[in-house]
Amino acid sequence: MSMWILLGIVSALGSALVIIFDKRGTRYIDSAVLGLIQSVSILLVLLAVQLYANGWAIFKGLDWDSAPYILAGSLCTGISYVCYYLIITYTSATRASALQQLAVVFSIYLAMVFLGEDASWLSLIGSLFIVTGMGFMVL
Amino acid sequence: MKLFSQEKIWIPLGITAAFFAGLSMVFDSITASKISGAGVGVFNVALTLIMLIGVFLYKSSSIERTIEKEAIPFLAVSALCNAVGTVLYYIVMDYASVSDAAAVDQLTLIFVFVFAVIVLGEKITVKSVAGSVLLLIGMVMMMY
Repeated sequence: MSMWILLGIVSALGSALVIIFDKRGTRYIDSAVLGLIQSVSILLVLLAVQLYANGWAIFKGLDWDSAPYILAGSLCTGISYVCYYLIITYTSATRASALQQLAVVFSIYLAMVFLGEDASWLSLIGSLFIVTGMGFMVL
Repeated sequence: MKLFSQEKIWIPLGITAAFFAGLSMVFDSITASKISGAGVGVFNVALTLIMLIGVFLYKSSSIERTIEKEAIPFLAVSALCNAVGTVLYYIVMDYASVSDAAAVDQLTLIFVFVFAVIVLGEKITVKSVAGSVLLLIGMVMMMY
């Protein structure tokens, strides 16, 4: 098994536990505070990994051409996180997770628009399955 | 006329979250070739933190100032899992394509389904099982 698959599985397991514990945590604490604590912990760990792997060269490779994309990607991540911490207080963990799966569907169509990537028919049909399955779980 | 009632407000919020997460994947895939996955993550989370501080300040008048003791274990485990999950996701982006990384990340749903029943005591319904199966079929199709 490739290393990235194993890392990906552990990452998915970690993400799943986050949704479960976030849902449980919102019984005791406001979702905004929850999000703040989570973001600080992620930022610290990411900074540690970045410093360990690349030293202080966080900006290495960054140029004016890529800066707008980094800013746009970060803004989109921020909006997505803020919405996530709001929905986790309103609905169940499985429904919140099902809605998150739409991100992959959006990414395929947005990659076609912004990056000019081709999507196979299998991917497009797969995205329809995901939307239908999400509808079953959410509605 | 309101399009969504207060009870259903999570649906547009969830779709918005997914849309911007999808857009973020696209932009991240452009920048990940320039700087490392962890580097992209640092920028993303730093800006997220700023936005969450904004939400916190906006809601600060209605937020309980004290954290109950019962919340601390959940906060600690959740923060740890979030950090591990996010860091590994950005490391995976260094080794695999964005679509492969996103496809493996879809396993989250299966784990959530299992843990929600065990930890939160959520009920399994025919609709939720059918929905999960359709989602999984869709994910497998997208991986190939």
